[in-house]
Amino acid sequence: MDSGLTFFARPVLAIETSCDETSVAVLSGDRVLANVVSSQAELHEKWGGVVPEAASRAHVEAILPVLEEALAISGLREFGAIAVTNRPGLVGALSVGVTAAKSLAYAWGIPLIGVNHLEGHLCSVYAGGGRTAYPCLTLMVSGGHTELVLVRGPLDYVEVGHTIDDAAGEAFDKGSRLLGLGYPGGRAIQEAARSGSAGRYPLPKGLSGDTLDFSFSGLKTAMRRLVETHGSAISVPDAAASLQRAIVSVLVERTARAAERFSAASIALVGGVAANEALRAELGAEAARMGLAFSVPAFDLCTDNAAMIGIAGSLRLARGERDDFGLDVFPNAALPR
Amino acid sequence: MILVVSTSSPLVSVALLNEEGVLAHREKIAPRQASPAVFEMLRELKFDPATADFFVADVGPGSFTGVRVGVTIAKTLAFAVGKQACGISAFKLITGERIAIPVRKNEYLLSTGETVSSLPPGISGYGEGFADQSYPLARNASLKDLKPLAPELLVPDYRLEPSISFPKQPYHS
Repeated sequence: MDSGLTFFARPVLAIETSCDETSVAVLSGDRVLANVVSSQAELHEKWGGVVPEAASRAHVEAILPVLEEALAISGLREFGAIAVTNRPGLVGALSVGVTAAKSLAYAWGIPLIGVNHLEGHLCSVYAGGGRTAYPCLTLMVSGGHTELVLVRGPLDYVEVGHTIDDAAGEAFDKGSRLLGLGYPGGRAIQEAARSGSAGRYPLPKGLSGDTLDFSFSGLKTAMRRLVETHGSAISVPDAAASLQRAIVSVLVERTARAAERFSAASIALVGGVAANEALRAELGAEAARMGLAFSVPAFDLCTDNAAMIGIAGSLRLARGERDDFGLDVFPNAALPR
Repeated sequence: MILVVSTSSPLVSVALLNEEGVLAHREKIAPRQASPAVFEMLRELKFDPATADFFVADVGPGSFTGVRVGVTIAKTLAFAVGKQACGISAFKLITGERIAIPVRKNEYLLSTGETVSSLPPGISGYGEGFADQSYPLARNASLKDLKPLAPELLVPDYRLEPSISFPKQPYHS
């Protein structure tokens, strides 16, 4: 298959600090030579969510050790360019990565490219030679985003559906907190759900009818009511399994509907929630039923990481795109056109 | 040669020093645009990081975000060329007998660590309430007390907890 993907000819060093992971990766084309991630999850656990100023402070301390480890693992010391996430995200956190990237670009005299974090997730499927048939209907789902994106070709995106309130990852986090399972919630719910019965507690899907959008705020309210109603008599495994089923089934249903509506040639699953095993299995099975190819990145490329930023940056660099030292950071950003 | 970067205040500055004194310097008012301003000034000075012996950053107190920019530049440049780095207090970069640094509205930090809500007369500093504006300047750095170390050890000296409200209880509990 001619994917039409052209990567930057020289090795790329990539940096990602948009939220609570400090990450540095080294790439050669679409090959990931190193992808080091330092998570702040433990730091933020006591607040039950990411505190921006605390995240920014942790990035300043972590950036050089993470960079050094990525260089050591890759064995490379010379690069053709630096790619860095500059949008969307926490501005204080983004600023640390962007400033470090500019400093490396300045010291080594090499080009710099700012990368949209969402484009990074969408490009994560290309790591290690992965390719998708176009148009590829991609479900991008994380703690901050739940979107259906039609990828019409390399770096050519149209958003076709999105959440009108919370992201799916937030629904996992909030459900986990209500059940006393801790943060981050996705993994905690998944583990608790293993021994649970998903049919035990009926939960709403959010938005009815022929829609490609999502709503998870009703689910959150229903979970709270469930916990209040049953009190200590609640079966945590059954409630976790029911919550996971409610989230996964609506994600799979809307993705399949969009793939059919836009005559997609393939389906892809990206973002932090793509690490959820039930979602991977069920969306893969749905794609197979529809006769469509299915792509999902390895687990360590689903949660926030710099390798995906390097892939997207490499594709942009190969097109001749560059940024200068005026590169700014932005809390919000749509997908690039 | 040593590079000093100060980004803790709205006046961003860089200076190249040696034992003899200041070789070159630049200053620019750049609120919220510290990193573009620093690199623009370094380019004007045709500064080559490979020629520096070590790197120094204003570690604050001052703007949290601003301080992080200068610290990240100094430590990352040092790392990139295999040199060391260290910090210098913003109090040492402001000229004056007694110095106060604005930390919040109507709140000033003194070098003693004490915070005051009104300024005693004859005190130097920047922001509202000072008769003459005296900013931290990279060129005011004295090389005497600086001890460069591994660059990853260079971190900001915030002096204060964030003014944002940390939730006392986890959200939604």
